[in-house]
Amino acid sequence: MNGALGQAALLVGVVASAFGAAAGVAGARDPRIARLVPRFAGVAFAAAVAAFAVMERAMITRDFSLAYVQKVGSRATPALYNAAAVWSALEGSILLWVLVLAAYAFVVAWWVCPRLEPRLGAWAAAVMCIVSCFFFVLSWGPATPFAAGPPGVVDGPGPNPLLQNHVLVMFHPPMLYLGYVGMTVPFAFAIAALVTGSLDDGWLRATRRWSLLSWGWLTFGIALGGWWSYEVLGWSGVWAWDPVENASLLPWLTGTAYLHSAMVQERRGMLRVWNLSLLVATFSLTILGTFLTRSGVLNSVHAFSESDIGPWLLSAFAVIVVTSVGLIGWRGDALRRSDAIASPLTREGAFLANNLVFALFAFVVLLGTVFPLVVEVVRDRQIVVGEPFFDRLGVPLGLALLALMAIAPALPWRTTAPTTVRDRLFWPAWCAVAALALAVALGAHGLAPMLAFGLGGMAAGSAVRQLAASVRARGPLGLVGRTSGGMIVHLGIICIAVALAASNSFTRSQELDLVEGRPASFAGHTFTLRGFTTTTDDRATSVRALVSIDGGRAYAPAITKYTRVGMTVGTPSVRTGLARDVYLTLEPPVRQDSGRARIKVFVKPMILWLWIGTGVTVLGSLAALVPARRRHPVRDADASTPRDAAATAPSSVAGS
Amino acid sequence: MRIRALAATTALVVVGLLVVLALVEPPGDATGESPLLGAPAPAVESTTIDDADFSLERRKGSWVVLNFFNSTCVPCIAEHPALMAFAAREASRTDGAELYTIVNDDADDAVRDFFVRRGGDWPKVRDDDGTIAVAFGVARVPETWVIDPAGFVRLRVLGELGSGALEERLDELRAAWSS
Amino acid sequence: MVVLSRRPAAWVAVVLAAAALLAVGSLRDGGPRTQQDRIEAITGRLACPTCAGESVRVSRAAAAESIRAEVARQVAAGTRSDDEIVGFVAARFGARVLLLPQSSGFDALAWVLPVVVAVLAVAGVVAAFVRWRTAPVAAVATRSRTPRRLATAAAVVLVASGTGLLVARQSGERLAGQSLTGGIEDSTASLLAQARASTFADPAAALALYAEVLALDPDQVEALTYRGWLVWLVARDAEDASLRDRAVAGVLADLERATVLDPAYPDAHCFLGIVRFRHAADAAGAKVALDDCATRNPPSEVRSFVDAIRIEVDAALDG
Repeated sequence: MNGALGQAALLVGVVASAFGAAAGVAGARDPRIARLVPRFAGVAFAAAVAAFAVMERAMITRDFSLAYVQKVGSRATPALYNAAAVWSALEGSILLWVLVLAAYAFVVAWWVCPRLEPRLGAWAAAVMCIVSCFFFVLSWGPATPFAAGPPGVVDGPGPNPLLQNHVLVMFHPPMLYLGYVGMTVPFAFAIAALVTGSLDDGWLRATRRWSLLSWGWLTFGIALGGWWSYEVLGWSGVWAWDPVENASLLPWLTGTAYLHSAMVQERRGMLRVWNLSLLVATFSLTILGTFLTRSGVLNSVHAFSESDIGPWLLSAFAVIVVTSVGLIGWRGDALRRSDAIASPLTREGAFLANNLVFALFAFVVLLGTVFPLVVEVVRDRQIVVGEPFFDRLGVPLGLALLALMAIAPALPWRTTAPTTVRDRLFWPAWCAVAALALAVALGAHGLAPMLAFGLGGMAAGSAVRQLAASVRARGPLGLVGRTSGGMIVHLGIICIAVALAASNSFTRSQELDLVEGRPASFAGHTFTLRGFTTTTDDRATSVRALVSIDGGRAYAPAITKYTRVGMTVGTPSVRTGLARDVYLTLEPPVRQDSGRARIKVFVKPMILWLWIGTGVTVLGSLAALVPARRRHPVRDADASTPRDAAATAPSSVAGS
Repeated sequence: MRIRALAATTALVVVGLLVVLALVEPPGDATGESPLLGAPAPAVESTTIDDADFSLERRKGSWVVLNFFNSTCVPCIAEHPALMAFAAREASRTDGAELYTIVNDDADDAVRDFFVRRGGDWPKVRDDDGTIAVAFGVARVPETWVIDPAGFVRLRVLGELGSGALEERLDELRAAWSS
Repeated sequence: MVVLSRRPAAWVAVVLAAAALLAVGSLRDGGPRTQQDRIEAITGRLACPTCAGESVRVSRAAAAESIRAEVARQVAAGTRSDDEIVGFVAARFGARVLLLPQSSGFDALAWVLPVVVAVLAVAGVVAAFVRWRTAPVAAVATRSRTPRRLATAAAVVLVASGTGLLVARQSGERLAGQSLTGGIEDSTASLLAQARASTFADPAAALALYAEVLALDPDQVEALTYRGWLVWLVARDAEDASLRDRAVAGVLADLERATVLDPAYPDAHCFLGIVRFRHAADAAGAKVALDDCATRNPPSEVRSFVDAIRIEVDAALDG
């Protein structure tokens, strides 16, 4: 019954979004038809909600007639993880994608499009519905979670034990999808702008908040993924350059470039081809990333199963890229501006350099992820491209970004003014010196980390200078608004970058053989084994070693054997501190009666600052969403005037 | 014009990428290659689950077949009858190959139960810390390796053994050996 | 604040301070690495063979656990360098466990392409800035600038490729992953294997190889046994009786020493029995040795020699 209901709901979604798309395309000429689009989008959204609700119900009631519930459901899984099990495998995660996409499509059609120039709005809604329809079809057809499974099954293995370990599993995928899928919105507007030829900045301004919001979700989702990796996987790191991680990073890179580059288009009407290309790239990369990780072409911790979804996604990627590139090529001349960037030492010049660095970074990540496939096809050999490659090429790029963050806020728009720039960079330069001094005092070593600390210090100085100027001009309200929000985000990112540099370069580790009652020491801490505890339930047997650090409370790294699945999972235990984390794992084999335990200790500097930086970034993006002082109706905006007073008043007062 | 040129180049690059992605297949099993083929077999010193010593070097002079195995792996269970038939055939020959099971990540009791239930009385060698698996570069079970009487690695079979497949390959190797 | 920033001295101070601190920080070393630090570094360069893209350091798969254990063993033994341990694992699992693309060959494209794209992009931007600066003058004589443009383009491509290849050479993996690196135990095993392979084809070479093994390890049981056996095979047909006796005395000494050094080694006992019976017609001594041989489960080749002779020995004892 659940299966039939779910399939029916999805079919309604397919039809509704198809009609919505048709209405959108037709509605470009006829406003009356365009008014139907939000209704169709609404029906599609309701259908998506219904399908998702049915799936959750099937999972919660352990309806094992469905093949998907047989795959990831289990009577023994606790309620929380069971509800989250819906998105623990391929079909369910596509369903989640459908839900988020249908929601976005509905809100865009209902709210945003009517406030825009009619043709633009209609086409944007149409594109949202087309993409929506595609995913509905995917979820109804090749990746359906409502297929009936073999009869007579009364219980299942539950989701992968790694996904039953930590409550983050509830939040990481939905947040990531909110960001990932949210990138469809600016893409839809970009296509609409290209198709209708209204290539001024109306669409850009309409989608600014969407892009920023999606970016915020995506950043948060990626950070949550890093946190999960740290807390659950037990290798003590936050980022492994895994193909799935790369798939989520690629749209983030192009999306961040877009957020910056869009400012140049708003101010000067330039870099339009860049912006359109970046948006197209961001959206296409979400599709490509999904293809790479779901088609089974590569395997990873996340890749759940192979299914026939591969060819669909690949075709979609092809269609998207060919259409978009074709549209950009077709409109080519209309996009060119006879304007010029006077010198690299202007804000525009810095943003152009920014685009380059991010694009190059995205290229490196994409190349590394895809290169094994290329070698396999061309040379019939298997190779692996992993962390060392990405680290080696990524570090210089990251340092370049830090340098840009240090210098760009001081650069003026339009004209270069060396003395002004010099003045503005003076105190940030001293911040760099302070940061370097602090680093040297705390024992830092190595060129790359030192550069990261120095440039990070300078970038922080530049951001604070900008914020200070803004607060001086507008009081506490100076902390919100696009520019200030952006500076706060920069501070968060600098925090993350510096923390990554420190923890990747200065981690110390040691394996200790602990005897109960006898303390062992490492890196200035003492570790004492206090005993073992064992817990058993029908899911798993867990052995915990109680280790007290520096005579304080006991931390319990564990080894858990999931009896049904036959999988053994290690769980680390972490003592978080402001300056460093002490990370413990328990090593097999564990012999409790012997009173000994082998543990690995990782002393990781500055990990907490990764999460603090994430928080600051999220706060900053929220601050940046606050509207400018004078709201101007987008419809009247004439972007051919280079300076748009209303939208840029705060920054022009504070920054230039 | 420049934009059109750029657009065309991008389209071409992407089409190239698509061709690659369309042509690639999910990584399946490798074809039984190994840097060890034709090289002296790695040293294996361990004990059997009956606590007898086992040293691969000492078996020079016989054809040795090593079968990497785990009692829960589905293809291992599936290939067991083929192995039994192989063992029976070799036992009837004076120069019969010696068959050993290398236990991969499994408990002695589980292995014993498996062989008690399904038969098979050849020695099962322990590999508790995975040294033997790493020495041979074995990442997945089942795998079957054939070593010649001089101690050189001659054959690597990945995955489940088809019925009669091992006998056939071994006969080929024996023929090549005596010539 | 504005005043200070206009003083060149202040800027000199800032630049010098930053440079000095950078130098101090970059040049000092981080102190000794613990064994676990070494293991992390080595396993970070190896790919888990059953996953795609994950390093052995990150992966929780069973194959990765085994490789980690092996790396830990070798690091604890302290005889091999990081590169050698990576090479050791790659020699067994194949080059596909190396996480860095190679520094030469087709794989080096992974290094070359990003650098080439970077250089080309920078060149493109520089060209754009030049175009923007000299826009008013652009209308003049475009045709005559084409050869210069081509030359510039060619120079850029050259610089790009050259830099790319340099980066590949510097950063890429230089280990081929095909050669077995090793300590004494590896070279002994290799020599023994070669000797065994050439026993019948080229006994003299085999003898030389066994001698080499015994020079490295005088107590190597297999070498002792098989050297004795080879000498027996050659000497038994010698016409000069005293020469034969001396040779066989040496053979018996080798074989007996082998049985003392490792009583569990079957081949020594078997050959001892054969030589005792054939040379000295010592049926009783031969029987003892052959019984020892049988209980120790000899390999089939040796067993085939022994089966033939047992019948004779039993007959000799009965008769």
